[in-house]
Amino acid sequence: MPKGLDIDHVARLARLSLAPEERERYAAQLGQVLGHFAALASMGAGPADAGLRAPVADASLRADQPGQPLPPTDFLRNAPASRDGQVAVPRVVDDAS
Amino acid sequence: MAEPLHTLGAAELGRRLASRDLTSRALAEALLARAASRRELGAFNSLDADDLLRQADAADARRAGGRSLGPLDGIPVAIKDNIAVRGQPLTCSSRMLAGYVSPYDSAVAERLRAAGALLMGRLNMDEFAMGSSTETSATGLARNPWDPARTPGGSSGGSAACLASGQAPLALGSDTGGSIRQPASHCGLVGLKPTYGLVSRHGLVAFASSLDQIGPMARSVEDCELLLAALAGPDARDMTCLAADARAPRVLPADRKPRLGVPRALLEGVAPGVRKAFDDALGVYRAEGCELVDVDLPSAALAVPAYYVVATAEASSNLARYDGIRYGHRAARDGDIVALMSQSRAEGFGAEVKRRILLGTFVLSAGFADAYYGKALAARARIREEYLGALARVDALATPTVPSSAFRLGEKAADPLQMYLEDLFTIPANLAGLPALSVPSGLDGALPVGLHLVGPPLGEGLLLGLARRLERATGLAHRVAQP
Amino acid sequence: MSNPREAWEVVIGLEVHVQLRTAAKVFSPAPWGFGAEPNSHIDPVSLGLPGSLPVVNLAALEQAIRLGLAVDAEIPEVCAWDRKNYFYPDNPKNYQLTQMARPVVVGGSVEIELPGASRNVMGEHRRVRLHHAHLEEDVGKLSHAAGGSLVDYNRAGVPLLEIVTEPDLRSAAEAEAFLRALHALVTQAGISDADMEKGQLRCDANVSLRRPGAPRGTRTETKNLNSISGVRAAIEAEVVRQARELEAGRPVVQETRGWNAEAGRGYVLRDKEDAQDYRYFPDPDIPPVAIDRARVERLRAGLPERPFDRQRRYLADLGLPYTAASVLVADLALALWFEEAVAAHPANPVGIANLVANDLLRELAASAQPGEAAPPAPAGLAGCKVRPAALAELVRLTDAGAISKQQAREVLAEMFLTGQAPAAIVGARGLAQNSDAGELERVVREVVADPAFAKSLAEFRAGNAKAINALKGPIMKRTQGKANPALVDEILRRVLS
Repeated sequence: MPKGLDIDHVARLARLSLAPEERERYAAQLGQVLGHFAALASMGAGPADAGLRAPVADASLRADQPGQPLPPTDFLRNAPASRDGQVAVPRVVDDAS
Repeated sequence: MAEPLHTLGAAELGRRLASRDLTSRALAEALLARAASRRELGAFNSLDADDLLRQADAADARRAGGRSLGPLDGIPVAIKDNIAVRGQPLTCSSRMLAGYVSPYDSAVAERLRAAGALLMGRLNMDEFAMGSSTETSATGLARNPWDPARTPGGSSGGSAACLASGQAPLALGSDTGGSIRQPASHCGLVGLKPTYGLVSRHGLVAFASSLDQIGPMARSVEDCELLLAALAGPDARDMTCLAADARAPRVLPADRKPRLGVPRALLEGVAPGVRKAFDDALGVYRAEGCELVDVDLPSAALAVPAYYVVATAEASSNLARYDGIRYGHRAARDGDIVALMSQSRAEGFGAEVKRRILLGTFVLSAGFADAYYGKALAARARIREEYLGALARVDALATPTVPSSAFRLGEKAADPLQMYLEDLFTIPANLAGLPALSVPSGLDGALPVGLHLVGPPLGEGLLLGLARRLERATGLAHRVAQP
Repeated sequence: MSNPREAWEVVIGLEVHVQLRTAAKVFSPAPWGFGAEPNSHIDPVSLGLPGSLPVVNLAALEQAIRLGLAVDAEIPEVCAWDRKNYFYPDNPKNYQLTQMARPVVVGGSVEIELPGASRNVMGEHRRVRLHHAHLEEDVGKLSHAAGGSLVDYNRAGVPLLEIVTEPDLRSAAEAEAFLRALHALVTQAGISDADMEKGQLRCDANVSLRRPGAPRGTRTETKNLNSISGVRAAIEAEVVRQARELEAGRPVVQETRGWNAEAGRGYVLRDKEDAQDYRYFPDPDIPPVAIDRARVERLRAGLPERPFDRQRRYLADLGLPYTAASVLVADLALALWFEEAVAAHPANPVGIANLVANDLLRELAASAQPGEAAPPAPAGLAGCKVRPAALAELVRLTDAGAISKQQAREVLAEMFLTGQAPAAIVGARGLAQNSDAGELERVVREVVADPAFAKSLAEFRAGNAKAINALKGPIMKRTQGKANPALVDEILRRVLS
């Protein structure tokens, strides 16, 4: 693993459960790929933006007109679990982050 | 006519439909039969025959009533399975979205419907568009019709396999780092990635938002142009889509022959068969009086690293929504919500997707974001500057599309880095937001090889014009692999 | 080790989330509003469905700009949005669109008024600096049911302005004053309805303690306080808790806390193992937005006068007492109603103010249906049968001596019920005050000569000034309460001298 790559920490941030052998494999593969990125080290700091975009005029923003909402059934049809018109999930213990 | 319907191009089909020599229904039936006979190529994830025939009948009714909607009316266009069509599956070839049905149409689907085109099936792809061989698809391999033991390329491998085997005359692909152009090259097709912002991304499942574009794939330059015209246009639902007054096209200069730039330094690792086809293509342009200029692109070494940092960073964020909560695969486990999300994602995503999510999460993470993401943005800006500078001196940049022709399935699966490095010719156009296409340039044995052209912003017409010259000289158009 | 608690300096910064008044959500055209059926205000964009893209709602941006103008902040040439990446079931994309690097409002300050020594005395005014304010999207709502939780995405994508103060507040009382001032600003400008009970204004409080002159202490964050009393109580409790820890030699742990209002206690939120890494980066789907200067000026021109500016004007230019002024400026409709009345009768703004702030508000409150707003947000003002010009006329009649102040209150009550003009009511009831000097002098002399009042008379002559009032009562009685009190006073004093 290159210096600093904590695969468990990254997997936790990304909400990806990894089996032990996956863990090893991905860590090694990521290390290899990241090693190839050494060419980037010579760059100075980047622009704050993705660099491709000029600002757009505020006049091009959307007018405040509500559109037709999606019928709840269209949404809940794809939901793995729902109850009383809401999406059902396991008990969430702590409050918002 | 003697040739089977499934080998005809869209322009010719349009003419026959207009002259009533053909019905849309007959065409649809012929293509459905063709698709059924070529299922082993794995082009489609799903194909709703009833729906296609219904659309065909509606097109025939329109035409009978004198209300034809234009040159694409009644012509099937196969749709990559990451482009939303209302009421149809939107799986992105992933277990994560198995069974997911889109409740709304993408902008391109709306445009195609308005043009009377028939939306045909859901095309196989690399999972979430991440890959160059369609081997990461969770819905099965796609095969190159010219040699089914080989890859058709990716991520729009299903689109390419479909076209090259005659299952449809037109197809949509999407391109983030070469995913339209590379399969086009491997399968002998014309594939174009538009200028970033030319085609709306509303309804395209996002992989890397600042790099993705939907684009046309076809068996000839003329057909590709036809499809592009239907797709391009403003859309207020996508803030990155160019407004109507920002679409002045760049064309080839009328007062001189075209000038092509060739970055010779980048051609070192190109396989001999590919190099020959490339040199032959350059020979065609030279013979027509085009000027060939050596260009230097010193930031080229930054392209693959910059791309894989920016693309995976954006992808890690774009794919965060797939957590099994609102839609998609949810793991069958109790316990806390974190475990549920993590397990659902572990089960729903394949290895390449996981790899890229982990990579993207890492390059954005605290303590590393400046070194990776920050510098990748700087590299990107430099690459764009360099390409625009080069394109101020030449009309287009020419390289092979891929360093080698289609590899055998399974040959590269073990080495992700090797696959990434093969994108070196296609990636810069995505990073710089420039239009680029692949047009057949020759054969490596039996395997197609493509020429890659990059143009200035809004230079699609310019590129297609150049591509048409090559196509005329090589005769490599409308080729359908038999049987 | 134990130092007196009084020697701690409390340092408080607030992050206030305000739902902006718009018809549609901030990045999607879905409608929104309070009290709808679950998942009925949804659309592909606010749900983050595959393939969906955000588009900025101009009205939401304008509301944010208006807030910035109202607090004298800088509105930059360009603002942009970033992604804040974290997983939570109420967060449909598992990232929130917010503004880290280039927010729409930079700096600024809010004027607050602290409580005075008594209700009639205006308290100190101070300015609380803002760090910035940024436009972001709200998240859905989690509720807990048996065996699990449920998510309603109606609120996901609602426009939120997060207003971040500098740590300038020094007490829970100041925090409360800040929230009240901010509430008045945003409601009067129509930027937000800011009803805390409906979650339209929510507050996080950052609290730390330090010895005066020492560097800032470790701070804790208490989140999602949704009533002003809750903010106040939570801050006070946290100050007590931190002081106790520090005085016992224990360090304050940097943590995120919640507030249990019923128990009156704070608690540690079951936070993640380590601090969240939000991996902020510029949102690639939303280009930076250039903010047109002409638009900014138009928006500035459309803002109402700020409550404390208006209050200063009432005190200085109109000479209103503080109690009346503060009541009037608390509601914009009321203030404008009052100003319309003053325009009709500019000679006595104080008289008009008193009548409006005391009597008219009382009438409105008494007539409010259950559930309607009571003063100082008189919902009934719009439909009130008394119009400003009529009330002004009433005051004019009083000033001219036609009726007494007490009579004026009775007339107002009837105007409130019937909407009739004051002159008509005065005439119909025969209320016209008796200002006939000759007749009044006769009554005065009668009372002065009456042996029943000799004692009071003697007391007055002996130097008890207040004893004169005992003579006024009978005079008023003998004139059926219609005698002009000022005139009676003048005549009485003349007769007795």
